[in-house]
Amino acid sequence: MIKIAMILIWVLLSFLFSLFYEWFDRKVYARFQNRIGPQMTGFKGIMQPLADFIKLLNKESIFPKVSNTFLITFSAISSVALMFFILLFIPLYDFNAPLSFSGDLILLFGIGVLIDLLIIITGYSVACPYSNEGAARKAEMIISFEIPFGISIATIIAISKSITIKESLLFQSSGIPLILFMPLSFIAYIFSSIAKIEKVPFDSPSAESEIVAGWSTEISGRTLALFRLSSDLDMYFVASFAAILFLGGPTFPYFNYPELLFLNQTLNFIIFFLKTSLIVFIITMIRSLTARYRIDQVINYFWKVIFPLAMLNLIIIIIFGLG
Amino acid sequence: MIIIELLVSLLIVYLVAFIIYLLGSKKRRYSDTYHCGERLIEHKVKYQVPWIYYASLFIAFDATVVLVAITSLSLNIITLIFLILIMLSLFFIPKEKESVNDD
Repeated sequence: MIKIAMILIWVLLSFLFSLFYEWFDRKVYARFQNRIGPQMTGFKGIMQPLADFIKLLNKESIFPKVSNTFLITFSAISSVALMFFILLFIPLYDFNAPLSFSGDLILLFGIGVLIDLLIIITGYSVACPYSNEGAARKAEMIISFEIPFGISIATIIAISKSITIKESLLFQSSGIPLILFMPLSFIAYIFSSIAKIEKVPFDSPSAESEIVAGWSTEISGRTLALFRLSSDLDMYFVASFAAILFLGGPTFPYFNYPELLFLNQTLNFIIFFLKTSLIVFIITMIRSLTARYRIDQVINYFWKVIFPLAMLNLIIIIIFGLG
Repeated sequence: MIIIELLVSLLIVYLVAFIIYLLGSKKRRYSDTYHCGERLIEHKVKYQVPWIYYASLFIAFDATVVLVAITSLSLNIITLIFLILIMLSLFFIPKEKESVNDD
């Protein structure tokens, strides 16, 4: 019973965090462009993403006559559910999360790919060239960014000698954050994450100036609300995952006082929140300062620049591991 | 035990997502596809031959990532040689012509 309550709390926190980071992203993006950003709903516009979500949820759903509405609806519900599921593995205030087992790092990587595949299914469920083109571009992106993303995770496994999130956190809590051992993997991870969440400069699947809204052109109402929520959850996931794998998550080196239970957990939670915010800030900064790549440029960039970087770091770690 | 835990968690999150979906408006309408004033013509997504090469690279490296992730727990020289050998495939990526228009 306690476990179910914990899962529900985690789901609620994930929902709130994802909306907060959408607001944070929009606010920072606006400031980079010398704008103010959302400011009308709540303090400094912090409630704007929630207002947008509720408004979209209550809108009428319009589907094209030739479309598979079941597949679209199923993909929307599944993408949100699977995002909530993988966020249950993220520890927020200590080493423990509601779910944890040996091999969870590989499971998270696999489910991440599955969510991207749901987007491709959605794009091809509609008889619209914009959606089809968006889905095709998404597929081309997946074959580019998933490998550096996976290699970054494999490097973490190689260095911490564990395929569990908890173990890699314990490894970092007793020493220094892994980013210092693997800066190239961190760069590969950040760029792959931007492609995963379809932000500029890797937003070809939903490039609004080229293909309207890409794979989501014909999606509306509550289905679109779910996809938007899934996208926000994805941003929160990649940022919190980076905070855990590269920056030590809710822990800080040589800063752990288990005897002060509540105070220690609160401080850990704040540290985790700050680290995740830093990752979101980096992602927003990159998307503010760059322009969109063409899809062929994206593929070339990932295979010829990002992939060798990630691979080089892995080989260095293996060589040192052998020594 | 962990399998049951995972399945129950999956059931709960699906239930939550479905409840959020049910909270939304049930109004539904069907219309023509979006065409923004212009006549929509049949559109075939174009593929370049090098992209097929990238797809095959993806398949090779996807298997490699899982393999390396699992063998990383006990690193050995074979993993390293395997990685170096598989990286050689990058040298065979075909040279692309300037500007590829996929629209």
